[in-house]
Amino acid sequence: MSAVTRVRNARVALLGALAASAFLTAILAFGTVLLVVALADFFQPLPLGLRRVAIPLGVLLAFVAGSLTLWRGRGAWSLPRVALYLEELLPGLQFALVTAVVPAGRRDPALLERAVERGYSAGALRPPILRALVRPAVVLLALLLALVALPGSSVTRVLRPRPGDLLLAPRGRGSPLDRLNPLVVVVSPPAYAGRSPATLDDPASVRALEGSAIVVRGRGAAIAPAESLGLVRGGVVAPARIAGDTWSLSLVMPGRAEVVRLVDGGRTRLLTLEPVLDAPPAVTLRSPRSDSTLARPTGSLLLDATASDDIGLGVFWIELLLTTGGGERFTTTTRRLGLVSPGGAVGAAIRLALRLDTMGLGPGDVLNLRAVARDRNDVTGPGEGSSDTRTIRITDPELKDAIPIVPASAATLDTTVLSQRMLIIRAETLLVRQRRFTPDSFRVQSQRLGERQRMLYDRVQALILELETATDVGFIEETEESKLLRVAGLAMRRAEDHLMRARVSAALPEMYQALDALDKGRTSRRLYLRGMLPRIVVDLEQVRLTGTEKAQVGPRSARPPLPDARRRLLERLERLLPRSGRLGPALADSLTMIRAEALTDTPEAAPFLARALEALRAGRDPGPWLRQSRRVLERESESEPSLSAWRGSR
Amino acid sequence: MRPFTFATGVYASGDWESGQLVSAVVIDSLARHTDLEVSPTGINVALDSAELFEYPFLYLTGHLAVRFSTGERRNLLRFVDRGGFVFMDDHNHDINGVFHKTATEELTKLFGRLEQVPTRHELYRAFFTYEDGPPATNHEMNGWGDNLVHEHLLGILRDGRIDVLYSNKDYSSEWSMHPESKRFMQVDPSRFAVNIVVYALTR
Repeated sequence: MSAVTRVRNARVALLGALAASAFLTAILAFGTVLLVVALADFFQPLPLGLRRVAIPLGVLLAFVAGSLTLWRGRGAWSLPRVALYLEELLPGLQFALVTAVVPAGRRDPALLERAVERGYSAGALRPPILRALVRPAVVLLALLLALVALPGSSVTRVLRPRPGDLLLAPRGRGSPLDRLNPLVVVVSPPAYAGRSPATLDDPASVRALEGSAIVVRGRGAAIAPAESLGLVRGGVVAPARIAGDTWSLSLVMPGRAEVVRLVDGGRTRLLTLEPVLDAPPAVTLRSPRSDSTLARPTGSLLLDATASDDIGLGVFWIELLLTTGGGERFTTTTRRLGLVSPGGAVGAAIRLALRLDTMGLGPGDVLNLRAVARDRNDVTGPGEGSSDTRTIRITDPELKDAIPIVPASAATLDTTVLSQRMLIIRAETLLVRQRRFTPDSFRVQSQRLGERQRMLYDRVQALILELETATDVGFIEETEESKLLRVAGLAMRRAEDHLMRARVSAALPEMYQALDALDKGRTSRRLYLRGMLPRIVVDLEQVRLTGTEKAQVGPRSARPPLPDARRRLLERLERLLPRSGRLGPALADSLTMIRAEALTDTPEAAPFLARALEALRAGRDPGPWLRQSRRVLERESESEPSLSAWRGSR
Repeated sequence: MRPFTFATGVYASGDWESGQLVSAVVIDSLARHTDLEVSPTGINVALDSAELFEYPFLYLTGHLAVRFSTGERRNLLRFVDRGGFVFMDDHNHDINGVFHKTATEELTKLFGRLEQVPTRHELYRAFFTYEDGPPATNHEMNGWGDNLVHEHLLGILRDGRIDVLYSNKDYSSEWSMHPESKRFMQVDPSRFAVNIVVYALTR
């Protein structure tokens, strides 16, 4: 075997030892982190978040430790350095090995080979390799023994941390006989919500969607008789179910905040149930944006609605109520338009056009339009939301006498009609006085009228555009009014053309036609506001106490004040505050009860009460939060002013 | 302090103005039978206006669909919370009519389920005594509308007190006459209105 081969073999052995050492060191680093966290968890159960960090931290440290080891042994890759290392181990080689592997030193290879043959020993590497491997292996063994000595649940809680593994934690806190501490609560939202179950470790309060299935689990079922374990709700005790060492209680999230009491013999524990109510869909009818009264049921109405829901929409449509008839006889039909099933999407939209002239509408008919959406809540719902209603009335000429109606304020069209009329008068005057003008000045005057006619044409065009895109009343197509305005516009363009060429006599018939069309347009459709009832004044002095029927008026009692939940909570809190230092654990129970009521009656105070409870449980002073809660209750307890008083009340 | 003013609620949908003579008739009856200081003319007040809170009593009626706007709902809720009294009457006298269906739907959405007002309720003894509960109307007796004589009024009751009174009996038709016409009648048909107003103001 040549000297170089010997060195190469030694390098392989050293690299193998280096890799094994790095691996052992990495394992050792990982195991150390595991042991430290498991030990800490054994003495004081660590929160889930901290335990979830343990494995990534261990892997990181393992990587760093392994890398450091490899870095420190990087010389094993180099043949000269391996040769030098061997020379250090075998001084008898007298640098023959190094000289043999360095190319510059190979002048007399046979001599070198003989020198190496004499001084080399294959077993020289064994002691340092063993030293490098045995030390970490021993430490690792000790580590493993320590981990084995720990309760398996402690290592499991570090290796596979998950919500609900609190029940695996060693009984470090409280009495070992306390079966109500710790608790794990599994919340399964209703199926329609499509959400995953959640597990809460030792909660004081459970917040979940109304109708959620809640399972409260604890351990130590075998410690004492199972009959003493239960849940008191509304005065009824529900017994616990036992499975091995675990007990469980099932309940359903109510629609109103509630405190349930878990009992175990003489021990009790309060658990606040905070329902999250499934809000009904929010629905908006974007078009039409206002009510209106139509002279005739023509044209199209744009219906544009949107809906959104916190969980998911089930169905969405536009409801149309058509009421026909009059006097005391009315018939109403209901239709659903544009029905869509969003299939659980949180938002949806409907956009469609309703042709009024195909609906057989007549004078006096009333259309009520609104958008309606239902969510998919099949537990407490479905929740239904609706938009504001738009009322479209068809004018009944006969009712104008019975119901006073106030015309809408003057439309732009009215002023356009006036302007066209003025323009005609000026054109007629110009024509009559034509002889007083030179041909050039007559042309100038005529062209000025033509420019005015052009401006009026532009105004009419803007009106047409406004009418046919009037989203506030929802019209999107040519209307009776816009059609007439188009006729007027065309006549105006022809009149303008004549006026610009000083042909006033030819322009006038076109201007008359434009005026006629504008007038028809003005009266074709008129929006009315609803009017007021006729004002009938009763002659009180004449009829005062002239009634002949006898009344039997009994004594009247004062109306008792309405219950003020906020005031009641404030009073309870104020009674509690001076004694808060002496109440001990009872203070937490009292605050839990007050907070549960506040969640429903005064939700703005509930967060401060929750913080007071947190402070209390953490052994801190809850006083600042209690005082803050009181301030909120005091501020909000200011009532709205009552209705105005009236004379003659008894 | 102001005299009592009979307020008719104006809402955007439907025909709030269908009971044109009701306010005058009720005002006349209040003057005939009580010494309540009453304004000689009623007032129409939009449900979505702040003016609503100037009046303690609100009358609503109609034949057509009732769909309150968001503003109307909000004000009506606050009006009742602040002690106001709402009297809503179905001018159709028809439980299958659109007014009844939509109005009760709106009230239920706002205040909760409507319940029957017991015939022994103090409403029926607040001024005149009605041993058998609400007086029947001619429209009920003549088979108009749903052809039913409704034995109960409906209401939203809080601790026994009526906050919202709802009638299927079509008192709006019964009281739709000129006050002058009462001199030809043996019994004032709008006496029950006195009970409603006196109850609203004193309970």
